Amino acid sequence: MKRVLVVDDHPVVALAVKAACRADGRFEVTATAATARDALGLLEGLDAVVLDLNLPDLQGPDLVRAFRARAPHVPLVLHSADDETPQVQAVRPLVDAVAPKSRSGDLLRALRRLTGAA
Amino acid sequence: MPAFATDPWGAAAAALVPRFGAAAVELRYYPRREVAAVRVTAQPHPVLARHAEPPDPPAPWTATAACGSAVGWVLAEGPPDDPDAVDAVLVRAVERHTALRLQQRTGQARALGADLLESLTHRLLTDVVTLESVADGALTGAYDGEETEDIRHGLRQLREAALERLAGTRDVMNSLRPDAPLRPEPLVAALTEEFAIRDVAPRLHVPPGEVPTVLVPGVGWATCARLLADALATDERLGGADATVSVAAHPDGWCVRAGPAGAAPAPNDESPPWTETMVGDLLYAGDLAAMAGGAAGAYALSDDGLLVELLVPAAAST
Repeated sequence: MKRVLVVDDHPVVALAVKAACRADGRFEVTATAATARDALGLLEGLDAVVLDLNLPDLQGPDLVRAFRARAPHVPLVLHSADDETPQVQAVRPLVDAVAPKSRSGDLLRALRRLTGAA
Repeated sequence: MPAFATDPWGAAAAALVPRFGAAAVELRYYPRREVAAVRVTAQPHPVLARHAEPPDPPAPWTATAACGSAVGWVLAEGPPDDPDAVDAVLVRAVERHTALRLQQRTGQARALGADLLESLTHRLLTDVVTLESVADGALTGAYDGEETEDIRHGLRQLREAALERLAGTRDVMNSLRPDAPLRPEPLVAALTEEFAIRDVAPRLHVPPGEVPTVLVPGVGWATCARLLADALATDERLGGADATVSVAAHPDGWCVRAGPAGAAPAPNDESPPWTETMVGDLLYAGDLAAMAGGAAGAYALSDDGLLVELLVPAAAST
């Protein structure tokens, strides 16, 4: 079972990702966090992070860089409401994958690819 | 409050005061005739006691100048050596301040309006996508019983937050309507009433002898006071049990500052943009104050604290 951290300030999104991972059977959401500060303390032993780009305390490239600095080898999936925005385009090179929030299938495929989950 | 601080009156005062010898002199201004006369500077001491008087305040010697709907006054304890020279300085000061003020307020209103719209549309887009993701999970049978209940609860919260956001935005935009209600409101009484409702008790400082009265179109200052009380009750950055709210006279009205006790912006500290990310639900209070002709500023403090300032247009004190 691959361990995933979901970082999103919207609890419903975190719940939906958690349910999708549980239903998939290959991933376990071991923790959720609504702020960057909380999330950055939860990076030990993870196989992937699912990250919203606009958190209350940190946003955009600064947010992604903070995760990269703390856990450079943990795959980072940007979970985006709209992956065509300039903000998302700006951080696309900094993350391992971008998955739309509206399609859990895309997120799960990205997680499988990045974690090697069979 | 550097984001909207101007001192167009400094040069005028420097030119005027020597013409009155040892007599006290003060300058007053208001952007709309027949509303109030707010003190912008006084040397060596005020001529009248209150910061915001009714228009055309009485004094032993007075002069008046207008620019459009804006009016400025010189009040003095005695006559100047050259009344024509005083008139000339006053006319230029009123014209200059009115032009600068218009530029500043227009720029601020555009920035706040754009941010308000961006914040609303971004959040609504997020909400729509959230609903889509929930529907996606439901259609694929991803939720068990406990998750279903959690999601139902989360959706209720989403609905309430969206309605509050829409109501806040509507309040701000409606305040710009030409026919928006506009009535003087007691600044401090509204605050203390809302503080009591929210059971918050910040230290409240008000200039002695003043009963500040303010003008905010539409939903009015009462809504700003409610939002400020809510923030003091829920946002620990404002100081929690150690929060202080101070009311101070400002050339453009009354400045309400809220934050941890003893907090103050560093000298020359620029106020960052007034955004939802910075101030949360206080966004609408600042927007209402700014759209009314005032301004809003926020400062992130070094210890994760937050200091907010609302500049609210004054009405004549009663």
